[in-house]
Formats: sequence, structure tokens, C-alpha cells
Amino acid sequence: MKRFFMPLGALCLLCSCAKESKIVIKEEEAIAISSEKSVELATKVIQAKSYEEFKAARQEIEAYEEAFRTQIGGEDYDYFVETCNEILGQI
Amino acid sequence: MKRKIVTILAYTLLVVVVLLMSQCEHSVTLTTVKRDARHIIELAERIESEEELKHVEKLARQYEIGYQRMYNGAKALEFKRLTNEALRNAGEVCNQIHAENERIAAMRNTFHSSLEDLDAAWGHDMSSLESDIAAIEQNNEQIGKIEADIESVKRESEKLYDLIIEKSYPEDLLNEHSKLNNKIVEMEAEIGKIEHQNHIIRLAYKLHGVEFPVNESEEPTEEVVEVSTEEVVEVSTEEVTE
Repeated sequence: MKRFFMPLGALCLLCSCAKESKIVIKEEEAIAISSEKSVELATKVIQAKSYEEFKAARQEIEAYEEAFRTQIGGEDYDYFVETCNEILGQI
Repeated sequence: MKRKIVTILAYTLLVVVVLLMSQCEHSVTLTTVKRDARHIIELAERIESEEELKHVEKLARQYEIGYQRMYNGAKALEFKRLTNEALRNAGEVCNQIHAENERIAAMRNTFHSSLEDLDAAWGHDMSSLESDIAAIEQNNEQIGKIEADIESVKRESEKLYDLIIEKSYPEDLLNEHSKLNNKIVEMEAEIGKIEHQNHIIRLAYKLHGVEFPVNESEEPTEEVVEVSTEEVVEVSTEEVTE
């Protein structure tokens, strides 16, 4: 039995860890995160000094965009994307 | 005598079949005009998509036809009068939702294409500035040629349109005119593509801190382009206050 449950337990642990890495945005913090993260992440993207830095920044900003779109939406999502677009358009 | 009875029975059967068929066409159960109209109004108030609107409009039409067939035109008109405003409002709500969805899609598109452009620029081969300058010059020449072609096709299209009016809109000429207009759209799209290539080359140099010469014959200057964080933050704080 142990042979069966030990790997299963490990797999469950791995799955829960993987889930934790997903960005979760609470509705009450959405406005603050939207204004803070949009500036921070978009600036990181345009100020990247190498392709690797850019790729990491891109991945992060896209993950937040997806999280805002699927979890929050509405004005907070609009604000996030509009601010990002404005900063990304500066380069 | 037997023949007469058979004929009468056949006619009766035919009438019954026709009546049943007319019933099948509108599968709604009629109650009273006000009650059915209320049902449609309630559904219309909950509409959130074009599909839902189409479904409710179809249902309303079925009620209308039902009233027309089972009772009279006055009841159908009364039903239409009661539901008209709610359906019109639902249509407006749908248009607003559609416009909002398009706005969000455009915003997302800008976001992702900006990132795609930056990715392409980072991946651009920076080994030879001279060849990039030559590529941009070549692209600009090509744009110039396409623009001249567009002007020529536009003139041709205008002439053809005058002929179309003169000959009272014959179909073959209208098709030809439409082909010319499509050609213009294709050529404009081609210009867009070439301009985008130029943009990526310039962006690549900007990312690496090398200012790309404005005049292509100029020598490049090794100047680091710094995007100040203060500037970026300033813009966003303005947005917040807005």
C-alpha cells in the first residue's frame, strides 16, 4: 500500500505547489495591484538589458494580464492594460 | 353515396392536417396578450448577448404569429406594441456589449503586439548596421513604388466609377471596380508590413542603446537611450488621478 500512496502523496504535493505559483488577485486589492504592477512590470519589460531579462519580464506581465482578465475584469483590468500599453508605447 | 362520404372524409382529414401543421409552426402556448408580453419583456431585460437577443426575438415573433393565426391581427399588434420597447432596449444593450467587447479586444491586441514587436526586435540580427540601413532604404523605395501604384489604381478606379454611373451601374463594371478597390486595400496592407519591418529594425537598435541614424546616409552614433523610470511613473500617476 505504501508503495502506492507515497508517490501519490508526492504527486499531490507537487500539484498543490504548482497551483500556488498561479497568480491570484483578490478583488479588494485589485485597484492597488493594477496600478502598482502595471507600472512595475511594463517598466521592467522596456528596461530589460538582455533578451533573457525581457523574456522573463514578458512572461510575468502576460501572466498578470491573464490573471486580471480572468479573475477581475472590468475597470481594473482596463486600467492595467491601458497603463501597460502607454508605457510599452514609450519605447 | 359511398364516394361522396369518402370525398368528405378526405377533405376533413386534409383540413385537420393543415390545422395541425399551422399549430406546429408556432410552438408557443398562448395565454393572454399581457401575460405573454410580460414573459417576453422579462426575458428581454435579462439579455446579455446577440444569441440571446436573436432567441427572444424569434420567440416574440412566434407569439405574434400565434396571435395572428389563432385570434386576430389586433391581438398580434397589441402584443407587438407591448414588447417592442423592451426588445429595442435589449438591442441597444447588445450593441453596447458588442462595442465594449471590441474595445477590449483592440486594447488586448495592442498589448500583445507591443510585446511581440519587442520580442522580434530582441531577436533581430544586429551584426551589420550597414546592411540594416540598406534594408531600410530598400524598404522605403519599395513603399514609394507601392504608393505610386496605389495612386495610379485610385485614378483608374475613379474613371471606372464615372463610367459605371454613365452606364447605369452594370454588374460587370461594378465587379471590376470592386476588384480595383480590393487591390488598393492589399497594397496598403503591403505598405503596413514593410513599415513594420522598418519599425522592428529601428526598435532593435533602440533596445541595444544605439541610435539609428534618422537620415540613412548618416553614420550611427553610439548613444545609450535610457528610458527614465521617473517619466514612466509620472505618466501612470497622472492616469491614477484621472
